[in-house]
Amino acid sequence: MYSKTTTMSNSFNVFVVEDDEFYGEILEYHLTLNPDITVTKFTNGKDFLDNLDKNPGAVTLDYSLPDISGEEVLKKIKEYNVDIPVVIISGQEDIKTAISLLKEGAYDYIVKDSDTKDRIWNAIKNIREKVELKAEISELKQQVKKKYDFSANIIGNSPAMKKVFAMIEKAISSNITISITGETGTGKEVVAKSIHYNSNRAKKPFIAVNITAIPRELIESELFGHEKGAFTGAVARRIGKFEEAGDGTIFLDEIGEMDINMQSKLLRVLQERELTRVGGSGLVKINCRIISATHKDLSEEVRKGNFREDLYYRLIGLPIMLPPLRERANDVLVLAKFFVDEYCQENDMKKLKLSTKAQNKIFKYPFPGNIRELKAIAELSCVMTDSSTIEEEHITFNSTGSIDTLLQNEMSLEEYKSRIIKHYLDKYNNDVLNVSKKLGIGKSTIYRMLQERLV
Amino acid sequence: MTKAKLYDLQQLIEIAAGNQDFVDKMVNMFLEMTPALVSRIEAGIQLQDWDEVKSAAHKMKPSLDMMGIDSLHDVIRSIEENAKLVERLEDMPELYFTLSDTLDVVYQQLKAL
Repeated sequence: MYSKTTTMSNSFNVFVVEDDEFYGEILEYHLTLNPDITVTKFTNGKDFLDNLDKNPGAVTLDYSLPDISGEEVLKKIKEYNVDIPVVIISGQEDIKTAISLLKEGAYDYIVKDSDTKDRIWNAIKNIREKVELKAEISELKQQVKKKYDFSANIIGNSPAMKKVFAMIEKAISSNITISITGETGTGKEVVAKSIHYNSNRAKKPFIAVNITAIPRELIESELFGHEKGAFTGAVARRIGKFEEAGDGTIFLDEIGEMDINMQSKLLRVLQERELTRVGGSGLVKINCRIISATHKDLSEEVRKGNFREDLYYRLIGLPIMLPPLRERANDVLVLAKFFVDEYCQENDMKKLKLSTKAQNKIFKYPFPGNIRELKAIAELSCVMTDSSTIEEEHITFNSTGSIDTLLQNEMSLEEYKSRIIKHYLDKYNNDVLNVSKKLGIGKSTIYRMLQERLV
Repeated sequence: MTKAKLYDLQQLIEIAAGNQDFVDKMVNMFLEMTPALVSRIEAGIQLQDWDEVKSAAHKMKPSLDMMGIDSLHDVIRSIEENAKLVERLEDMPELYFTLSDTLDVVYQQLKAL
């Protein structure tokens, strides 16, 4: 026999399997004091198992049912869906049975006494929190997966990007170490995440470490973890990023900036696939995939003696070179439109169009800050316009004045000279002597240019 | 006739959290269900069907505790334990009469509420 209370939307349904109707009534009343909980009662094992397809949020199961043993019912629940939490309620304390049931997958084992109702209340509360947390994590994982679906996330039709896509496909379908190179703002981390979230490690952690963001003296402990008391301030054991990554992916950004001594330690870990926490002696196996990235030419750094050759070959694996935006032909406009659309969508704005002149202005600009800079410019233009179109004047470049930008102006050599001297004079508070030393020109040349108002 | 109250509804009242209807409902449920369980124990002892005695005593235990019938706390457990182990069976008739007589008084007291 079974009876059900009124079902509420978004409620958490608990199946109470209890042959003692008196006790079942008490449980139902107590649990439904929480308005988010509904209870369906069963007085025997068979009726309950016949209704298992209704997928309860949790089950409280009397161990001594008249028709089927509690152990048997638990086994059948776990066969049906291992994730259904089952709280066993027993009339007497029996440690052996309790241990056996917990081993079989029971969530808790509670003896019927005066505290039972509170213990069940807490157990159901904890189960609910766990279930909700699990659902939330699953939802977030889906969102992240969607976000890093590389076909939708990495935009571009240029031949340079088509080569990159081909490499990403290879990276996704294999387990090989990946090295990504590209100027700042070309999207190295986005590519790393896309590889991870589209690979068979997608459900495992993605741990990003920016080598330049960690003080040199802390990098070893950050990467490999430390034992309690390993150094001043190590008040407890802490696992490092490699352990945190588990069976997932560790992304070592700006690897080219790693200290040469640390490079040897990293090399040993990559060779042995095991590490030792700082201050510890035990070995910890590592199984994560390695993706490294740098804006530097690592082979050049090897030649200069700044980067270990053996580590270079260990890390290079499948190299993916991200082209700068200026070498991606029409991609700049495709991306600009994408960022404008994305901004409008995220801010509940109507779609905006880029005028032809605005497109031309974007197209001519070299984007020294690459995609990151383009995104900022596109978003600013959305804010600046008051109509449904982004015009030329809404496109504002805030480049810090890289040489590429300067060259884009196509001025005469004399004009460039004036601009450079003015830049230095501004920077050094018109200290002509200092500027002349910096630029390696005579101070009289600067004074002359100042007199002739060429600067 | 015993005048002292043989039950204590304090635990039930606490669970009810101020809902007197629930307390009444549980008292009525106790009055309806318990006599059948007592009869099962009686019949089981007469027929020496100890599984039946053990099962009925086991089922009765939580409601006796919930109704605060402290004088039967050890009695119902002894009945269950003896039946389970098939031991001290000579004590069973006396344990049964204690159970039955006490409950008769409890029924009267509860009905008089």
